Amino acid sequence: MPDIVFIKLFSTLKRFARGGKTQFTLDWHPGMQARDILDTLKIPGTTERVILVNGRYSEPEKQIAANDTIVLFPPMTGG
Amino acid sequence: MYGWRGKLLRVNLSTGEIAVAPLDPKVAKDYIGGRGLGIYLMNKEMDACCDPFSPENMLIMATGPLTGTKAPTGARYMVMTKSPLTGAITCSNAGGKFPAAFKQTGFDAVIFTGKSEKPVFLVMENETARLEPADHLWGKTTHETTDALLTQIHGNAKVACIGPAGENRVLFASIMNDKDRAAGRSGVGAVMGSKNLKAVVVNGNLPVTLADEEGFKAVTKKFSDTFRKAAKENPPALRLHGTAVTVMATQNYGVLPTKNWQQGSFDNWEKIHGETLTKKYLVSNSACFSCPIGCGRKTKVDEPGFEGQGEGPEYETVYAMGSNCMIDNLAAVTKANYLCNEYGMDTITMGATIACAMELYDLGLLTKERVGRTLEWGDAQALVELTRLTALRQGFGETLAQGSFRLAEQFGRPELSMVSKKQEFPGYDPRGSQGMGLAYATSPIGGSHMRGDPAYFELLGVPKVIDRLEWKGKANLVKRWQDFFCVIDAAGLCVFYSVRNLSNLELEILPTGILELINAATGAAYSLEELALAGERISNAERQFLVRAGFDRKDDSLPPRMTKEPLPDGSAKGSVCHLEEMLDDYYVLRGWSDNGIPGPEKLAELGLA
Repeated sequence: MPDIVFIKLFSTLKRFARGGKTQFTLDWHPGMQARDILDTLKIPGTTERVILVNGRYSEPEKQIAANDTIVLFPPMTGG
Repeated sequence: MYGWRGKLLRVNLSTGEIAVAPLDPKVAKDYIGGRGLGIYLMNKEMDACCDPFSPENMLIMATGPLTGTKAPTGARYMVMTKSPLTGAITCSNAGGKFPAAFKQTGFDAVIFTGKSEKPVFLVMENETARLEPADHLWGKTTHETTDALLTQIHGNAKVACIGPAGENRVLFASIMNDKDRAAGRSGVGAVMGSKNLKAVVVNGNLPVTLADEEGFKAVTKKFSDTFRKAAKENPPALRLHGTAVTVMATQNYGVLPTKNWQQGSFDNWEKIHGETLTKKYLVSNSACFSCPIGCGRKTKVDEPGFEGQGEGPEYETVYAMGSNCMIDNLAAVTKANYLCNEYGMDTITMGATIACAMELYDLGLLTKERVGRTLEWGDAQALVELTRLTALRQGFGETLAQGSFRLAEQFGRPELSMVSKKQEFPGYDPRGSQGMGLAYATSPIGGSHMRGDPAYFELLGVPKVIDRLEWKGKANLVKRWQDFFCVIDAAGLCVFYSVRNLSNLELEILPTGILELINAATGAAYSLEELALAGERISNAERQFLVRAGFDRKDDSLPPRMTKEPLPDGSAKGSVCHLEEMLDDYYVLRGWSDNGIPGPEKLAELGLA
């Protein structure tokens, strides 16, 4: 079994779903960064998104470990 | 004057006397309008120690220079008075269509003093106003009242009014405008009820004149074009799913208040999420005057027992009445929201007070006999029933109508009330969002996310992210954002648009876009420094009122659950809020004493000495 990472897409970023799924896994590889996941999902650099890795806000350069959970959603706040 | 109308309406409800007073151009420039104008008048004319329900308390409805203009989101007004919930000031802000229509009557603000012997409502028309009897409206809901007044007053009238909760002086009663938009917090509706003032009807058609019509049009177009272009690439999540979409973010950060803030995440969060609301109950979105976002939710619920139609719920309602009460029934939350709108009550304090009661019940301190029913966590029926009883002050509702602090105090456990200055928190746990804790504690109205909202830079990366669990350096950012929010509120704009589209988008935030709009509108030739300083002046003027009312450092507090009990779950597990450390920094940066009193040098710098 290859190592994997868990991906969850929310709100407007659901449009980058894979095979109709907004929660799925991707294969992990050594040296993997959050940026690689954005590239794999074809999320353009101009798309506003918040990247959470295991609940912590992260930049695209964030190193991803096997079994990490990566959550992607657009910036918003409530009133 | 341009932008401003230059006229204040004064209504003495004790004598029935109505007078028009000029707005001093220097006061207008120094305090901008809205929230700034309100605190200027309260400091000048009112005893800060007065009983909030006494005739001496002022009730001020104030617009800003951009309210009712075509500035994006120029739709807001502010209700200011001394709060019966907190004893501090209120800054209850609302949008919709009423504020822009208010401006078209030719007044910047209306100032109520005194108390009418009998129920009345005020009609404001083109530079005139009159009081009319409201006996026939007393006891009616906000929707019934609005419908009745729109039948009675012809023209293009808009209505702000109270419902039975305001008449009954529920300490967190709201003033509703356009039926479902709320000046929601701190009990402004209870003060209105104490004055026997049922409604304000605005019915004017005087367009707002601007100093530089062409220049203003060009600036507005620039911002609108930029927003439209960005929205194509990044559809605004608030438009698609409303503010309740925030549930997903706070859940993932582990700061979604759950079980009266005993947890930071809720297993059934997807059932109360904004996307679920869209799927199950959304009829259409709605927008305030001149708003390109349209975050409002027109909804309809058909589930038996919870049937209804109206607006909402917003994120804060979903947290307070949903996860915080362990209720995953979105139909019930939406129904309770409808009831709050119709009776005229704040959904945050209502939900948080019921959550507090549920914890007291769980601990065996509150009995079935006392409540008149069982009150287990997650009881959706109880939420709806107790909301109704609270508005009418019937049965256990009489106790709930005092808010969570007085409830918990009555049962010997005030620390179970999740408040600052006796006002309930919005839905972001400060243990996982340190700056938010400082913002709650130092907000002039008590627990609030709308007096400077660190969630932007702690949770959402706007304009960029700062470690949410780090407390060092937060005092400076909280101060800067609080002062920036003062400018937004005083100008008559909406926070949602202004933060991302009318600022310099730096952590040390400045009102660059507001400057362009306000100068074109008013011709007041503000420099950026002057406009930013006006925000700081408003913050300090508000603090002066609080100090006179007896507030100091002891009141800039959080309950021990936030500062001593580590979050037990979620991605901020193990964290507490470092309030005292941040407060020390904050007072120094503010130029206040270590007891939180503005110092003479700071007051002199701001012209407040």
